[in-house]
Amino acid sequence: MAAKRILLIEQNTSLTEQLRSAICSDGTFELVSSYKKAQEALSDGHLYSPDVVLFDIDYAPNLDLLAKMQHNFKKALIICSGIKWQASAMERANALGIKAYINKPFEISELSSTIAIFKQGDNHHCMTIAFFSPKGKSGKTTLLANIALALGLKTKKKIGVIDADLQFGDLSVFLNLNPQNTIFEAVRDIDFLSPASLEEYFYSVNENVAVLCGTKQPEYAENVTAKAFNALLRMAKQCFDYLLIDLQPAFNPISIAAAEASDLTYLVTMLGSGFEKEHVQKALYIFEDWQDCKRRLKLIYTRVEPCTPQALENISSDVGYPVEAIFPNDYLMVSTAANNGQMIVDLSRDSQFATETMRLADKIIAQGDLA
Amino acid sequence: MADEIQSKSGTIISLFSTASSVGKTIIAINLAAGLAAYGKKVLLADCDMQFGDVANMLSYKPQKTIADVQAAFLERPDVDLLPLIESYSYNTISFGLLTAPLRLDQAYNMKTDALKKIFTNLRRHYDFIIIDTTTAFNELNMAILDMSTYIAFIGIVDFIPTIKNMKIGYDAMRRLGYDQEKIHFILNRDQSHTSIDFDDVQNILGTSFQHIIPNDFQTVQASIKEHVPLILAQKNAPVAEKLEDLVQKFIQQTDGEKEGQGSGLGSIFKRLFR
Repeated sequence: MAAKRILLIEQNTSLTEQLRSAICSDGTFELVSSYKKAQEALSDGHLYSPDVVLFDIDYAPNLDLLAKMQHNFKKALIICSGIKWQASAMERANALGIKAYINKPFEISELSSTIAIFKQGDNHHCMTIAFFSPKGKSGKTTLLANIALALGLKTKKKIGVIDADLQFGDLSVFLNLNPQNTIFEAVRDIDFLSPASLEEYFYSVNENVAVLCGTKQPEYAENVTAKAFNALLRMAKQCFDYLLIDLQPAFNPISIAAAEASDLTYLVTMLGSGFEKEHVQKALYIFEDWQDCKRRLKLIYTRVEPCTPQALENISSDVGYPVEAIFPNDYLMVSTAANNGQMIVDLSRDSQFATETMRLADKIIAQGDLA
Repeated sequence: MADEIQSKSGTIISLFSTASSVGKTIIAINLAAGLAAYGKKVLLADCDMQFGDVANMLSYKPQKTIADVQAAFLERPDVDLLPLIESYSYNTISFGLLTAPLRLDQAYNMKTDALKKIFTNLRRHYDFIIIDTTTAFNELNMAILDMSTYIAFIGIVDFIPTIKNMKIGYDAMRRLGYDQEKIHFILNRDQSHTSIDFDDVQNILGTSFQHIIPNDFQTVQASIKEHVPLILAQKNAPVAEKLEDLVQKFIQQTDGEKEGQGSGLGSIFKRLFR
């Protein structure tokens, strides 16, 4: 395969040397030309037909030339490069549809994965879903993990999962992971991460699904601020096609931030747990502040027996809000699967639980296509 | 008389767990009712602010919730709180009730400092304050655990994620410096349907359950449906008997502590609970 052609714009001389030697360290890339300023690259850079333009956003005057760069380098992937992620500069780039970003200096592997992440083009949308429930033990995490696997099976795309149930997140147990890095480390490091390096904090469950696990000790949760968490979500959306977020069963700054940043919020409730109607109505009162609440907030009930279309109708009219999906009570199957770190969509594909999971995954895919 | 009230300092028992849906509220209600049945002056407070179920379980429609009490206190810190406390009664037995806020915005605005002062004030008027909490380490819960005479840490044995959360929660409490002797480890719903071995759980946790409450789904469901504490209405059920034992342990514990003041709390605790 021919080496990818790189055009480099870098104001800082010593960085130019470091980047040059990284780019040329093996045969993957070829450095076709390098400039100190974007203005210079606009004159003759296009003659080199680069595949990738590394664009220095730390040099402020460059930012004003981004639109012209896009015009001159239509066929190239423009990757913004910075010493650290700067939200304001990247917002200007994002407004033009330029989303690729890398921290410098970088290793060649990071450049490769950044190109892989962003090669899908500028109209990349990450379908983001927050999973919330008023009370614990609603089956929310089980559902999320199965939906993630189902989306992976169906789309073969990249599915990211963030366990933002910060103190008592269970996804690592459900998926049998023993992470070194968790959401605590990701948020701690976020200012110095790029989408490609953030991805390394996610643990692969299979070739499509990767998980950022919850904290190992509940005390760490207080270090995860809403601001840093928001930055994490923004960056993670660039890495994945679907992003699923598991939340603590409470309204707090993190769960609210996740819901606000998501295309969809699933309010997951276990039927027959006691006072679920009161809890759902209490939560709806808050969500109904969203003007497009009916589109963004969907109700899901678990442990519904019998799990029939009629049951769905009945629950909807009882609670006074449409119900998106219902799931049967497969307690033994669910707990056996969780105890063994396995998922129902893998274990028993013919079960009603798996069927309903696949059905909901289809709805998500359809809605994502619309977005 | 005034001196007597000043010197009273009620026992605070908080119901806490780091795993969800373990039966904290059911146990809280029955502890309150059971202690009240012994003639103790009891207050049951629901500090699961967002989604607390004490009022739901007792089918109690409060005029004033803990949010109203806080509002009154913030407006006038020297306000007499007792007239604001409502009560639940069944036959001749009654106990004070502080229910959770009705709305989430009120729940969101509960202030830890104010609540600490409110409970410090109220414990002068009650023999026991039973506090139900939410499943989290947060500022309010930490303050409640600090204030508590005893922490009833509730666990169940159902599936691995629950055990994991009990383990990390219990370890965190030890790291935070809570005296092991202040924590009462209570196993709820023993013998419920699970493939996990009880002894394995005790080994993982590094401690043993000091009190075990049997699984009795039907009795508990019936009490929720009828909105009456099962310790009062279904006295003969095995689960009621075990809850009754727990009530007696706390009464003996508290009385023993008063008699043996100065001799150290630890030894008495061990005698009663091991």
